[in-house]
Amino acid sequence: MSIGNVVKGFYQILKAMAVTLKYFFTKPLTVQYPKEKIRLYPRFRGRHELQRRPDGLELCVGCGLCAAICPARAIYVEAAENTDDTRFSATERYARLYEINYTRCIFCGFCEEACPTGALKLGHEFALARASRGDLVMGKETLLQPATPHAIILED
Amino acid sequence: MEVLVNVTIDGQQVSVRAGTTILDAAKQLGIPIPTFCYYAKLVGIGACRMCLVEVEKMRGLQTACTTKVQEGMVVHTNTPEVVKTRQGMLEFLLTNHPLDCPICDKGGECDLQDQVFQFGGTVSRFAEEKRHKAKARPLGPFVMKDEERCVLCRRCIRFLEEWPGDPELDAFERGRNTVVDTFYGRPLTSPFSGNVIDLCPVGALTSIPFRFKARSWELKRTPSICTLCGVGCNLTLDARANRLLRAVGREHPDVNDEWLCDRGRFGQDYVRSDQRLKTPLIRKDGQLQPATWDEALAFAARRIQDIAQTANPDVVAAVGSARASNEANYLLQKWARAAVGTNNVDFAGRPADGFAPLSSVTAPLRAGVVVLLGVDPLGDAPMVDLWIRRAALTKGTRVVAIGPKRPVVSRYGVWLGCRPGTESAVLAALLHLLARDERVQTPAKADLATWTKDHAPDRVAEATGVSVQALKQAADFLAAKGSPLVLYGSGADLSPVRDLVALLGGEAGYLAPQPNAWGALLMGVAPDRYPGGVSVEDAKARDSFGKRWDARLSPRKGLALHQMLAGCREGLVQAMLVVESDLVREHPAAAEALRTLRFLVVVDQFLTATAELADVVLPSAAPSETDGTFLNLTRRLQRAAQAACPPKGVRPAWKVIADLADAAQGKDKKRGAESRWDYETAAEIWREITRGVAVCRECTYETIGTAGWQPESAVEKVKPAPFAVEYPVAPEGYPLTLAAGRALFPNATPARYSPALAPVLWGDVLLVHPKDAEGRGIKTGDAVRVASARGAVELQARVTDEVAPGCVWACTESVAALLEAPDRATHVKLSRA
Repeated sequence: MSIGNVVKGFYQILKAMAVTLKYFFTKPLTVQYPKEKIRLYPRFRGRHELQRRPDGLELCVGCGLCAAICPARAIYVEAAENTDDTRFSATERYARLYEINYTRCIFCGFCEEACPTGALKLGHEFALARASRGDLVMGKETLLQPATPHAIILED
Repeated sequence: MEVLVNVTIDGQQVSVRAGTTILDAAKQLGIPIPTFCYYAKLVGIGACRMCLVEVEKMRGLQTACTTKVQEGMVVHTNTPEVVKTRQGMLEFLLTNHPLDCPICDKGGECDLQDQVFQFGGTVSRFAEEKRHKAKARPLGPFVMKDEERCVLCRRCIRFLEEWPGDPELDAFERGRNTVVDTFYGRPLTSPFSGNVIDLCPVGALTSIPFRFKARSWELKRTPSICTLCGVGCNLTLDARANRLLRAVGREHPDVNDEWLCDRGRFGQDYVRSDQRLKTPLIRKDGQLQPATWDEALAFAARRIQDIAQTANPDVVAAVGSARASNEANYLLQKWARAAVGTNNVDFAGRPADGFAPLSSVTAPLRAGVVVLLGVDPLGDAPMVDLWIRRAALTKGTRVVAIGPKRPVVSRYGVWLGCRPGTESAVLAALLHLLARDERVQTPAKADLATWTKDHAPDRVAEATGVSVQALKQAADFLAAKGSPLVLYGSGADLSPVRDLVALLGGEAGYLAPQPNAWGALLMGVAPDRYPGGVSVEDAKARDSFGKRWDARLSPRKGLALHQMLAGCREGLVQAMLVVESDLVREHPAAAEALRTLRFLVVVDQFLTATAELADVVLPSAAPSETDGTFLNLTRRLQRAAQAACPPKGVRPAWKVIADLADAAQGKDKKRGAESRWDYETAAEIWREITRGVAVCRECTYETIGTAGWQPESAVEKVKPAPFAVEYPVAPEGYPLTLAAGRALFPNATPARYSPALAPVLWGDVLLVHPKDAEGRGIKTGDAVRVASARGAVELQARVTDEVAPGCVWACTESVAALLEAPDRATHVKLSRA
């Protein structure tokens, strides 16, 4: 072992310590979630949200194209017919049952793209942990509620 | 000799028969030409202009579906002009199409979608407001119409004109205002109306029961057969998420072509009825209460064993069913013979000795005259009715209907309305006329002339009420057309039928109204026959089956169904197992007889009137929920495949019978292969059947396939013979004759449980002739009381000349309590309730 190697090694250590010291004095990246909100891009794909028309009717007509395109087979739709007394959507048909299984969903967004009425949007809600698998199959009553995500949406 | 012509299509040479269209010639070469209005089984009209092709030396483009090929013709189907024209045609169609595919039930199986995808342009140039027409208007109980989607191909109009001959639809208004509609807004009532749903190339005509139930790509499609009548039409059962949602026709040229009647198409949903039995029931304290399978099976097995041991095995009886599969029927008779040790097995609707199956469902096409002997094919076998209509429309076949109720198809001939029991007399009068007709020249003529000399038309007319003129017209049809097809029902007197066939040729066949009457008989569900039709008194057969089943078989003939029911009251029968048979609604005297039993086990899908009397009720799966084979009214063997699973806790009938036998047998016995009852699948039972029944020895589930299999049957040579004619005399106080039959939408199990058929079911209605109604002050809609010597029921009257004077007509299930026997004339009196 030559003296040169020792000096060289000592130099390397100093160099590494310099990096450490430099970050020691900068602001940390860690976010104190959920106390603090995190930042998401506008096109982030989170939990689905079923949209409504301005008059409150559902945009979804239960066509099942989202279920047809879904590569994970996470969506199940059963349609039914609107009557004059109970009207859910503007056309003849509405989704009587609309379920997304979040144990299967891969958030690819194909469903949003397939939707002919723009009823389906992947929102920014990502905190989907639930205590049981059953709770991860979400129906219309959940999906129709716009989520309040714990996030700040970045501008484009 | 066929004349062949040579044509060149897209550079490929082909020789086709003269008269072939360009479209069919191209099809032979495998060259696709898009079409909308063209349909192979309908007359071409060249309305949609989708099939335009270029023909050299002809000006302009030609419609391939209507242009006949000629020698040396050169056709191009893919020139730039043709391609551009197709795009133009599709663009025109789309300007008038709402493009509401997401909510359209046709989406995914729509000709317009497919063709725009394959042949259409890419970008829509149509920015204007589209035309608007009526949406979602029901045309009848089953068909929903959306005028905006219609492309005016007229397939529905043509089908109703060319097949059932019910021209109920037509195109109204002109130009872009044209709509397809019924006349004067009347509902669409054709019994075959559902076929227009399959035919519609777009979503203009859709199914009401299937409305928005599923998208076409989500369906699991199972090729199967219909089990709601004796024809066994081929169909595809579509299920989603294990729920049977719809049935669509499946092509089979020898059975149903590709059509279905509305009963078969919409009635299959009885499996989804909320009245389905889901758990076994045991009678406790006079009430049927839910029980577990183990409990119910052990209880039933023990009670039957006790009764058989304290008396003898012959006090136990088993009733199979013409509604159940061959597999279930086979196991039922095996249970009775091997596990219990009695030959008391039978079923309601067993074809009588001498009855012959129909040669083919399409037999009307080959007949000159169809003779309906006391049957209405629309109720008994609707697809046969369709073939009769088709034969009448395309071949000029005539119909001679003899019986108390006027069948719809008698519009193609003559109806000789007479009381039940006098059909033989009417036939005798016809034979009398025919034997003296110079157009008839057969060896049997001289004999028949002498045998029928007492049955001159005027005498018969006086005795039966049929007019001489009608008799002469019927005889004229028969003499002029020849080769009659005689269709008869249960209880028919075959002697005059044989004479008619001997005199004129043709054939006669039993119009079995139940899906598996011939099958149950072949499986040995008869008091005197083993599987395959061998007599139980044949010692060799008894040894052979005894060895196979590892049991001592009874050498005595068993009791037939009517003897069983009579025996119930005398204690000759004390315990009974009834499988999928609603005896109370089908068989007179059943209710009374079954109440006197010590123990009754009923296996069925529903708590039927029979099951309500039972001590143990075991739920069974419907034919669409398990595998099974059926023998239709031509003895064609077909498979009803499993399209969905039975509801939780419900077992197939064959499994129930096997489990019942197993429960009695105990587990520890060492037994031979065929004496065990541990069947896993229906196919296993079928393999066992083929080993014992010679006719189907070569036949496996694979060889039956989706097309079925027709065992060869020898045609019996008929010999004419003299016959006796009876005129039933009405007893004092009972002036009318009650005829019982079957309606298109019968209020019988299982059709009565179908939610889709509920609005059209034949209710407790009694048809009364105006003459008989007048004197009694009866009007349509009145409640009337019909009474026979056996009892009385209250029904709703409908005054109509569809029924012969002196007769009243009702569905068997409404009046079973009044009848002497299911197929015998019953004298009744009628009064306002």
